[in-house]
Amino acid sequence: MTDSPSDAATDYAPSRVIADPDLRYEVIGTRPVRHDGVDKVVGRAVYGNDVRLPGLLHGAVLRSPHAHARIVSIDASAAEALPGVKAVATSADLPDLTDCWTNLGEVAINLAHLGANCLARRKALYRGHAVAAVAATSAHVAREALSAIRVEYEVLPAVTDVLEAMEDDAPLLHDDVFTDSMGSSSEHPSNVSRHLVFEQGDPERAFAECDLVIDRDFRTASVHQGYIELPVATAQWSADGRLTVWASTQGSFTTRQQIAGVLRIPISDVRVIPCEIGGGFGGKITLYLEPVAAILSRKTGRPVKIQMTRAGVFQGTGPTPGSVVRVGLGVKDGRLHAGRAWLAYDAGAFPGGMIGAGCACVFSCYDIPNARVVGYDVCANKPKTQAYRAPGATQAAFATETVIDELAAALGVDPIDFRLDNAAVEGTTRVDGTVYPRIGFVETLRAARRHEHYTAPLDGPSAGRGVAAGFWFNIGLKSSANVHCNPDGTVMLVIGSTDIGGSRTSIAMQLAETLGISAESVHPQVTDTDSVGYTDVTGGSRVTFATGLAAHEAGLDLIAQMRDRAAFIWGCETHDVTFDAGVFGGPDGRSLTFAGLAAELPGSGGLLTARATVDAVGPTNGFGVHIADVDVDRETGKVSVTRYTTVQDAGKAIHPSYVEGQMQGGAVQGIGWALNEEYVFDERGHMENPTMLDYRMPTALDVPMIDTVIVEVPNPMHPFGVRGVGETPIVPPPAAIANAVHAATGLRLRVLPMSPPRVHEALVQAGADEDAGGR
Amino acid sequence: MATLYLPPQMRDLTGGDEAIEVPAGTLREVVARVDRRFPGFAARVISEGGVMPGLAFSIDHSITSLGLHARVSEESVVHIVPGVAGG
Amino acid sequence: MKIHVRATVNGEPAEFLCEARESLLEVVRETLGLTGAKEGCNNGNCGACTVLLDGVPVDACLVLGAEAEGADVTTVEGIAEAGRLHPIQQSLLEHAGLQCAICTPGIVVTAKALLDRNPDPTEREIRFELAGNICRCTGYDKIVRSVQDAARKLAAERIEETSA
Repeated sequence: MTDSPSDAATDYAPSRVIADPDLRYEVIGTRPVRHDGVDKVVGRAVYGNDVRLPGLLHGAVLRSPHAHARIVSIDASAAEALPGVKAVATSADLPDLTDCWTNLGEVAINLAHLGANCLARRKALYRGHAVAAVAATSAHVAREALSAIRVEYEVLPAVTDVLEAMEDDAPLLHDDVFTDSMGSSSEHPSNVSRHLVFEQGDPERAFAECDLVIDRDFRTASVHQGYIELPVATAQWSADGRLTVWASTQGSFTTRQQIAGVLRIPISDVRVIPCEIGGGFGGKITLYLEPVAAILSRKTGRPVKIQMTRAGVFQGTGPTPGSVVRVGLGVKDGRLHAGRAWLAYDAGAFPGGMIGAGCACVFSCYDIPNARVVGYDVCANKPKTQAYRAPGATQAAFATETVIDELAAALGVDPIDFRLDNAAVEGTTRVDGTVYPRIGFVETLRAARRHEHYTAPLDGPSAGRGVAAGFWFNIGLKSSANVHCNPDGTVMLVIGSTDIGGSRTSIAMQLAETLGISAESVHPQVTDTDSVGYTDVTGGSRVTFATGLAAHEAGLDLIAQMRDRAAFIWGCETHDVTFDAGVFGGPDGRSLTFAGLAAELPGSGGLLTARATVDAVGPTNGFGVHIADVDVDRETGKVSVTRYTTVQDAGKAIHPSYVEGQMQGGAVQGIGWALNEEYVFDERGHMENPTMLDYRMPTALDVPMIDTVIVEVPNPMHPFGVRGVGETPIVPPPAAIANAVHAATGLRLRVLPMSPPRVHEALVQAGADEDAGGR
Repeated sequence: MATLYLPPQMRDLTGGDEAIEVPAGTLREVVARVDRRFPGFAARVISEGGVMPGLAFSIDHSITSLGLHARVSEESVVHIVPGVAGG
Repeated sequence: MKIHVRATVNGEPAEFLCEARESLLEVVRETLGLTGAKEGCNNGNCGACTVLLDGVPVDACLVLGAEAEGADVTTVEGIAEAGRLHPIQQSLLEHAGLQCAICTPGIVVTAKALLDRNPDPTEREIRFELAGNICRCTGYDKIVRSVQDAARKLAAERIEETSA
């Protein structure tokens, strides 16, 4: 067991930070133990399912056994008569909304569709679509009662394939969804809910001018976010009309807004208490259970908790879109000169997939002066798709980064050098018209080129190495922070950003840096929607950037107030009080440390509180480059990742360990997407593999150590230079691995996942072709 | 004058022109002026008094969160892009 | 009808009633209030509910509560001793071996059992032992390093004890 590739992996330097030497910080860039850490390693942290309330009822959800069916009738009387059953809910208990949009900051969503996804109205649109729910005295009783609910279905033809769903004669999911083409609507209803076109330059002429053109077709399967915590919600609808919801969510405020919208109640009547959240990756922004638990609580007068089953998660919650992508690139004089792309993405049961991002991302790493991109968002009888870490980008990058690799090989150029020759830089115009600010793609490529891994010898005839790049936009949006100063020189930091991966600490560290105190002197708390200012979702790689900015600004507010107080104590003017590195200075050499002045506050007018609410602009973009080594087992088709290195521009890594953790975790999710994960549908449109055994996510045994290089090209729009980090790392792996498989076998695999049967079949086919050619 | 770039799917309104020069002002004023010159434009980008769901305005290469209140200056470049959500 | 069960839970004698169909996971979470063990799949695939049954890591969702009769059960709440973290817990904190941390209780319990049995595991052995505990956040790198570091801490403790 000691000679495995992963044992060797511990020998080289696993992580590195390439920092700007001019930036010096006391707290930022260090690696303190996270503030919520002890609770999480001793099992004390309270997640959604750990909520305990007196009189609590337990809910269960009945899901459609058909991929597409009209709901003729629902008879719950037998279920309601069972001992222990307290209430049954169906869509009849929710307001029947027609097109009703609400803006969640990142995107606007249609509340009518959201409500109909929580409980099917008139039609079940996918196998697993929630149809009814029961509240009972125990989870066992609730689950048993589901079988007593009689639902009469009229089964309809279903479609799960994105291309088939685009056909004119495909089963139509909605008679009120039309194709939107930038504000103009199709005449007839369609499964194609959106058609997008981006264009720059003159692609048609440019392609004619190219020396080398490669066009290729790609497909990717639907994959799930795969968070380990089952979605869970607890609702208590009080007799005074106030609804309290304990949620496992990426955004407590957007959850509040969606609950109020779906239930048509005032937003001020809803309080969302975010629990610790066991993973989200984009999948826990929408609602599934909260409105259902709420109406069951209203019916029973008791708190109701509903936790999904794992099969319910796979069959009833958002995977991210499967895709069909065609990418063509043309080169003239060694430079990318023309690009064309055609993308069709699953939306699932309701419109609103990730096609906009897919189209804007497909060529986003490169300076391609002439390009045309066409995209389609396509409804099909699958769960409504949801965001998954850089939503829409991975599918597109798989295609482009594979074609880039082919071009470099055809030109006889090193694939990183080819990317360097064509890299997007400050001032490059992306195909959607956006011009890049200061970005760090070139620095990231150079760091990958210099990395020891890139030129290390490969071992054996079945080994290969591939590289690929990835891009994500990153977002800013709104965040708030309250800071309360304690007399012992510590501060309480109150924020609304739910903490999925250590963000409490990365935000607290920015406040500590601002105040000149230690990270341990800041006590961060994530609180409910009644107790802090509006804060957008934990998503879009925004929290360390935007909520960190809010904490910094609240810190500046506190310092301003403390300078006033120091001036009062010293009998001078505020402008005579300085603040530097945690020390207040006054006339005649007087000075007080932050803690020293804090101790004076109670006796000089009282303790102080500061706050900030920001609408953060300028998150700037994230770029990453991954290097993958694989070994291909020609007997079985199994691809093993034997060495892996991720390089990414983080702007400035506040807590490098958690930046590395994002890079490593994203890379491994991308490895799973590349090699194993997929929704397998039968001919009826039923997912055949809704367990974690059959939906095969990477285990510890499947992956090597993931080496990291953090490149720091500071973001000029953030006081500490932060860029978003979390999403970019999932983008490069499928292409990096496909390129490595090509290096190992000579085969170009253009369908995800590159699972053993698929790779084996390709190897057999290639062998047969070779034999035939030989004769 | 500010410059408004139209995505390919809206160029039917302008007879194929990609870019339009418009005087500075709020985004609401800009949209109203363009609509006077190219009737039908406002209906494509505004819904219920706000920016059409699923669309976003990028002013000087940054998506604005200020809706139609956003300020467009004399040197601004304005793009209309589909909304994008992160995970 | 409920079954009367006597067991030792986290070193203390415990008695509880459970239905025949109730899993050990339901018993420790709902009846005993030990919510550290998490439910991620309820069919033995994710490892978030790992507890020690007579020192052996098991998926509590696959064991019936009634099967705990006479057994010694240790949950994540029983790993730290008298307020002092076990080295694996300390190492996970120092090496950022947790992100959302829903898998962490299972990781702590599994790794503790491994280190009890094999004080100096190779990386391969650590990965093999943890293969039943799915983590979706970390990519495992920092978890494996945490276990390696905990093994070093435990070895240092042993040397200290010997020399003392």
